[in-house]
Amino acid sequence: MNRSMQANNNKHKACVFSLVAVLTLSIFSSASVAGPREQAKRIHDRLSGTPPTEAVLNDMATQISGGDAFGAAMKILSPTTAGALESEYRNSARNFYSVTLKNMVTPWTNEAQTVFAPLNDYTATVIGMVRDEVPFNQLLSANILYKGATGVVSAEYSRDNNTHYEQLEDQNIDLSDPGNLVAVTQDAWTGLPPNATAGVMTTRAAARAFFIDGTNRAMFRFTVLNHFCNDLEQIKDNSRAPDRVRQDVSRSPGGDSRIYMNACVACHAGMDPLAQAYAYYEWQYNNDPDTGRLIYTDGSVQPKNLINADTFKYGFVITDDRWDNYWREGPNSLLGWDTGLPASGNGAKSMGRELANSDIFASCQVKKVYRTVCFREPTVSELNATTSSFQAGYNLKRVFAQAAADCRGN
Amino acid sequence: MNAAITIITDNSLRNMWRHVIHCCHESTFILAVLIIPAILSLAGCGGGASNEANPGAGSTTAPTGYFGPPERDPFVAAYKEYVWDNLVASNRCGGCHGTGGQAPTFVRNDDINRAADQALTVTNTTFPEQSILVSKVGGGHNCWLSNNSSCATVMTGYIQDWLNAVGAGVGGRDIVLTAPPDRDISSSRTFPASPFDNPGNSFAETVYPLLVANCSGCHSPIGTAGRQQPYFAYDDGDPTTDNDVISSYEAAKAKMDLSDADISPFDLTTLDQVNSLLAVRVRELHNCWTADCASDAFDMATAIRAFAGVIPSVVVDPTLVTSRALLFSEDCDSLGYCVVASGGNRYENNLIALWEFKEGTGTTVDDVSGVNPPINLELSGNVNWLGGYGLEFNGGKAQDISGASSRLNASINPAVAGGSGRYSIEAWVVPDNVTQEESNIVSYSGNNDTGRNFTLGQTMYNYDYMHLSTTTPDPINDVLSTPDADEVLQATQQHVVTTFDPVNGRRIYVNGALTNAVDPFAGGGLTDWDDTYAFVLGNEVSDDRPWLGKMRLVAIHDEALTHEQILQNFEAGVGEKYFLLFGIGHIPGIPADSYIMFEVSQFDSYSYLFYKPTFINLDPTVVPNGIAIQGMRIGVNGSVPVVGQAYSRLDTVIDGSNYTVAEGQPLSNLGTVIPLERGMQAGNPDEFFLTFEVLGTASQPFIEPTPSAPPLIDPAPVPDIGFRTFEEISASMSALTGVSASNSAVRATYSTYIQQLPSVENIEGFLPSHQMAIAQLALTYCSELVDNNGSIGRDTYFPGFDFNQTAGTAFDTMPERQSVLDPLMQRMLNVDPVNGSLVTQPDEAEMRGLLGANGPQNLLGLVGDTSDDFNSLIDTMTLCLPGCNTTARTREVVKASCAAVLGSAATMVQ
Repeated sequence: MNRSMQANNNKHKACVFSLVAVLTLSIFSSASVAGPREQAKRIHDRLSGTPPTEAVLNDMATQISGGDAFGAAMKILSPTTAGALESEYRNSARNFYSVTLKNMVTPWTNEAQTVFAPLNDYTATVIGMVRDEVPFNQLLSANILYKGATGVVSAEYSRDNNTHYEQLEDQNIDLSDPGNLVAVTQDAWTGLPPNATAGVMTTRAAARAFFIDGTNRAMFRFTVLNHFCNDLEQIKDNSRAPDRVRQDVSRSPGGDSRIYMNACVACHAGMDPLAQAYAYYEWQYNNDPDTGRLIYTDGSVQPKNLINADTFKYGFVITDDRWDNYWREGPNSLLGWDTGLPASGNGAKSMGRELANSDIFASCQVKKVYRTVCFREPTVSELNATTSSFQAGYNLKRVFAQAAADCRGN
Repeated sequence: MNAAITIITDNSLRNMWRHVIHCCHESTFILAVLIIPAILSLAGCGGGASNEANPGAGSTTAPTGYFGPPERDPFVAAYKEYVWDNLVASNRCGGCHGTGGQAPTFVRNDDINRAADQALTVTNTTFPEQSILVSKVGGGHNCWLSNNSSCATVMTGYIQDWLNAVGAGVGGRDIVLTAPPDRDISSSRTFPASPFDNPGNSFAETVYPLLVANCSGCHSPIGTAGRQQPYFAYDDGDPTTDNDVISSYEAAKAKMDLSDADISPFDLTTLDQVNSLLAVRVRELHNCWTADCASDAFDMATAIRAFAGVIPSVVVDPTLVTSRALLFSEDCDSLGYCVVASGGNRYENNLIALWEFKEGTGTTVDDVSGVNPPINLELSGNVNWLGGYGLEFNGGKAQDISGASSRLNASINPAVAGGSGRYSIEAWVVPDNVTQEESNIVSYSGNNDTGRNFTLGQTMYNYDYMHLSTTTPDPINDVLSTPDADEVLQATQQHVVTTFDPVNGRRIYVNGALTNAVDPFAGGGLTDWDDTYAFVLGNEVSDDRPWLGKMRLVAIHDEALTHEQILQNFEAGVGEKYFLLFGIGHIPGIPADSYIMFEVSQFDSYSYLFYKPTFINLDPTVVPNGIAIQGMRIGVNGSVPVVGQAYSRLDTVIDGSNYTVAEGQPLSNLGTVIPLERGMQAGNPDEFFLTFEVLGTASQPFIEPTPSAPPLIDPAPVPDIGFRTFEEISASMSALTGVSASNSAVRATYSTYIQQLPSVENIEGFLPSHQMAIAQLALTYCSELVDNNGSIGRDTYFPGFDFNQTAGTAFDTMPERQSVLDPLMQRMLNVDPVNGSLVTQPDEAEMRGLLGANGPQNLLGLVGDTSDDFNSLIDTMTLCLPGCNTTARTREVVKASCAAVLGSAATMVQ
């Protein structure tokens, strides 16, 4: 390209940029009452992340006019219900699962909470569970894993790398297609005993992110952060018995025990007896953490749980993976624990079941969906109604449809 | 340390069963022989103990020579070496208790054998610290150091050394457990049931308004500055509702100490005795609401005092199952409420200097090693005394200014006769942080430039050890550090020991374990040490290597301690420890003389450490059996703190099989910290007691208050629209152009700009940089479309438009221009031939005008005003005619028109 052409091209780009900017601003000047077509457009935009085709738009508008905005949204999420326009809706569904849902989940799978992380088994498992309407309260306990069907990409699932999922993403494989993304059992592919599987907590991505180094408390903290929609700061309670706070927690940080009594213990008193469920897990790696693998030593506490014992030698010493939920009493009893569950047990599977059957878990899923679809928190009435219906069958797909219908702009 | 308990009878003293705990490494029982101390009075030279002038620290005056017969046996010889020689000086005891002096003449110089006999009359050989010799100097009787307790410590050491030298000592100490006095739990205040109780001084009228006015930005479920538990400042804005006040009250209870009502108006002004965290936190600069935090804290303390002051002081809830109470004070041992447990278990055979920081006041830290001359340290700069013994260094230092430090060189430097050539630095420290670098903890040095004999320092997570030797001639840079990756230094209490000997070189031990620090230098000799250097703590002599943290003990040994010896000192711990025996014999179903025994120490300035709770009965004929103990809590000053109740889930049974007369039955291996309220000062110390949910046949369930749910509130309004995010943008462009997102050109552009595209939908977060990235991606998609690289051919996408015409003719009519714009409107703006435009999209006519109007246009319709005049995109891009009258230019114009729509708000906003 010669200099005159380069200059010409730059001028042409500049012209486009300025026009785009003008058009960007122009949208804000339009304010009108949204009819069925506008509502359909928004529902599609928010679920699929892409504009609808004219045929899809008109079809959805017709259904909305008939008073079934929820049904219109469900066609995007389950295109097999779309009848003659199934193939048109498949494109919409593809973008919902491969873009909207994926990007909602990806930040849950890494410590930096970045959305720019590659597709991984944690994200794929959530996508598959939503698509196949697997009860979402199994998210933290099920022996389930979603992976690409054999042959869809060249690299098969591996305990030692994420290549399989990166290929699925790089090759733009349609994750809404049950022929591409399939459900398998974790124990068949990860080597974990079936009773050591705990839904997404024992996926490779979660282990890489939260079982690496440290004391495995990160897995608990980020599970709470992502699935209770609260960090520990919001659910701390220093009135619980600190008898399970481990030896590695200083009771006098910097020589000031007030810090421990007012802050540290408020998290550790409840967290440590729950996080003990992870006592047998470890992310094993040599130099490159990304090439490590999750290991599980049944009956043998990982040494990481016993480090820094002299920080407070009168602290608790983990001897097994027994967990207890101290938060069933006190202020955090308001989190709505399932009274049908025993509040204690051994291992991550039963602990994950304890977490995922709480009211706070259910309402958090609803909140996350509303944030994704509506760009806002649900109203109190929306939260109560949608959470209640979600808990009836834990079908997260219907929560997406409900949220899209609730904020369609009517 | 294994504690063995032996029972003896001593009717002559207290006429009660007593237990003796023998603190040593053997777990065998030892029958402690009580030497009933002679009740002798050491008449002071000045006739009294309390008002005598301190005869001065520093070195002893020249000892009086000995002129008598030789020692009759090793016992007397040891007495002379370890006691007589240290006390005979005229500025210690020799001035009065020498030959012909006042009885007892234990430092007479005419007959060492009689002197020893006299000494035995004022010595308790079983419990050296209970010797009259100790209690006298500890009471101020001619103490030669700056602090009486320092003299007591030194005197105890002399006696222990004497006894240990001849095997009469026990290497540890026997501790007598005696039944404490029966004491009822004192009265206290409890929170009113309602925040509206006591009108005029209710919570709602005193503390709550201050909280709402100044803390609701965070400590409220509707806080605007970030919601932060606990929500004690919640105000729903509706004065007719009470739930906000009630929930705030519940949340604030744990942050208020009702004993603050007893603080005098004067003391309130200093805030020193205020315990309520609501005020304490403000005093600590936690979000004060004016520029004067002390004033804000005073206002808060005043409000709490007003609230608490009208609450009547009542006895502890009578329905609770409680133990007897115990006062935990500095003098609790003499009052019978506790038994001192610590001391005597450290390895100190090669000790040459020791600082325990027990003084608590003043500007001098005494060397209590007993070695002369003492290396007493003067405080300067920002250094504070700590509760529970210790010094806090905030940039200041503690330095020897007497010159006595040269004694360290004399003991260690092998060039000096008797110098060992080996040494150890031992310290109990609490680093304030893990960020400070090149900070001196313990140093024997000149200044930072001229060098040092030795230094223990900190650099972030590492302990640094530097010293001058023949193989490390640069003690500034020849550093041995603990490995970075190990992060052995933590901002918590740690026991750190460095050792040196010529064979093994330098070593660093932390908490009894040898670290992975490997000395890269061979051992070397210490012959180049400089005896003019000064010993200093917390900084460099030249004040330019300050260390922030706390010290609770520092010792220097003229030997490289072995790992076993280091472990012994680590296990011995630091600080005074006590046994507290909470009487429970009055509870139904519990045998008389039964106690719950705790080991207790002041943990730091703000808490006590309770550990090793044990059920024990002081009557050895009793073997308790079948006693249930559940839900044990530690109470203080009439109430039960919510924090630190590590035994509240205790559920055990005392039975004969697990109970031994010697050791009782341990209830738990756990320890816990309990908040300090009043402290251990004599006269008004903290009073402790225990409560139980089940004890023996008594029971009282612990009822937790029912938490009130914070109200759910509708979210604040936010923009109804948002921006598509990065991958949605690419997917949308792909769907609208028919060009695959996997297209190589698209992927290249996308990969370049992915991080520059919006990552969140928030419309208010949209930036010009986002728009630039969107435009680049839009141009790429449209370019691939027009270049026929998409799934939809350009002639199909733009039916009726002739791409074979040059730019001069391709756009010279409006129908031609509309053939470009029509598909863009229909595909990208959902303009429907039947249903028209979407009302939520930009105005179709306006967009067509901006893109393809022929001739100058008027954007805002301003008549006679050219400020809103513009040319359409197609007009602008064909201004180059006739110079650009090519088909390539035609494609460029279509690409630009496509990109202008594709990258606009019409497609990017959702």
